[in-house]
Amino acid sequence: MISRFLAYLQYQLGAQIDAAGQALSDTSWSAQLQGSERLWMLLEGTHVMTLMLFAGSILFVDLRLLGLVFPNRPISTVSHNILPYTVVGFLVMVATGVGLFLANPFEYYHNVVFRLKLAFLVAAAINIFIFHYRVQADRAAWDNAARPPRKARLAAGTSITLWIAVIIAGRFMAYDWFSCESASGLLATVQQCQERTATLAGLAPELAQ
Amino acid sequence: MTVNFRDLFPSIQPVLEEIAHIPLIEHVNATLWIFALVEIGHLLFLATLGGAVLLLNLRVLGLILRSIPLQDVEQALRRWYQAGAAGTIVTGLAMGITTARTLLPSGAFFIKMVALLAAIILSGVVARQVRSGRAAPTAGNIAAIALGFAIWFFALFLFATTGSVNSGSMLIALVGAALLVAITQRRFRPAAAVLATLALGGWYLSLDSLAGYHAGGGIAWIGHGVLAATALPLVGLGAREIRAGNGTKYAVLKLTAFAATLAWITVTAAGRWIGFS
Repeated sequence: MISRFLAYLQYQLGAQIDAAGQALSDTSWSAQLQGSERLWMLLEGTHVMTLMLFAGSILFVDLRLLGLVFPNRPISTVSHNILPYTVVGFLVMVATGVGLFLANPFEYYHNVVFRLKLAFLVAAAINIFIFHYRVQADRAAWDNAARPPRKARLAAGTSITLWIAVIIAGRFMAYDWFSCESASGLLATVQQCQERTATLAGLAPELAQ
Repeated sequence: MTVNFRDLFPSIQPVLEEIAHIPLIEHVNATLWIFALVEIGHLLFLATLGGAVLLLNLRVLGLILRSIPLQDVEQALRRWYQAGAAGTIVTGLAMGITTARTLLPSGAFFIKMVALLAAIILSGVVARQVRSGRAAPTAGNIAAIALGFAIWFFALFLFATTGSVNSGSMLIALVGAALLVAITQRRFRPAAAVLATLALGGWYLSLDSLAGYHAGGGIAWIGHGVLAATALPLVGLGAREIRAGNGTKYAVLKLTAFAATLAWITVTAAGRWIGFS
């Protein structure tokens, strides 16, 4: 059902319909976004730029938790000052990321690297949740520690690792090494390539050739 | 108009062609995953560099970590800045050597290199002046600031007037406007945000007229008008804050930090636009 909905978004939503009631190719909103003169470039450029803001700022909060930067300053001082910029970067990054996704939603959905990126994002979100509600519950006791306790360092190390994984997956999405066109076995199963084929076959009568 | 290394220095091309035929370089070129790994390294070092530059410059502008002395912030971030810069340049060189044939005719690559020079000069001045603890810049630093600004403006001019990449210059305007809004006093912030939004709209229309594919001269002139009518008060608000209060004596340093941030943004944007042009 998700596959069918995303195929509708990619190929039919906003598309011009011919006399036979079929959607003309390259006229959907997704296709127009991807083929746009400037909007696509601005979206992608902003995505990369805010990635730098987000990753660059959260890195130094995590480094403080690891005791590698500003060791003589309270953790709360560093995090309260820097995190607002991290949050702004994250929000813009997600907004532009959604825009980029909408340019090619069906193919991204059936892309294992995109799924990995989402999995890393979810894991990073869980790590933030655990840090916020469990790890820093007693932060007052170690706020001034040059080397915070193991649980805080573990959360910071996990955060850095996961965000690096998100960046790597994001970069590898540009390559079509694992696309359904060539995938087989486990890879094809994980990407639901059979479902992709079925969706495209079901959609074919509704699309002009 | 496109300015690039191939046209400016035609003698480079044959040398790089020879380098491209070195077996190791040919192997890297043919092995996509190695290139992808270097590219990821470039991004990660860029994030480290960007974080270090941004934190120091935001501290200089008085936006973060005010309770920590400026010199302590610079000292804490220095090794990360150096590691980020070194890593970015080394991975950038590795990528550049393997793709030299496509980079040499690229206008965006030329802009990136020009902006990189400006960013290194301006960031160097900020770091040196913070380390020295002096409010007034030395004659040497003033000369370096003037040189850095001149080179950066040249990069911006090329970015805005090179048809295939000029939309990238809008990103620099976007970040510049966001920084101006951030440094504006709280009571002026809504007005600054509105001005920034209108200025970007004007910028967009103006860019269209520069590129030559536009909906007509009238719309282009409206774009120029909106840009001028909104950007000037916005810049004025920013300049007012940079000169305001106890920070007056640090006005030159703040201005340099502001420009250094945007110079690094220019480097990043031009780098991304290499792939688009």
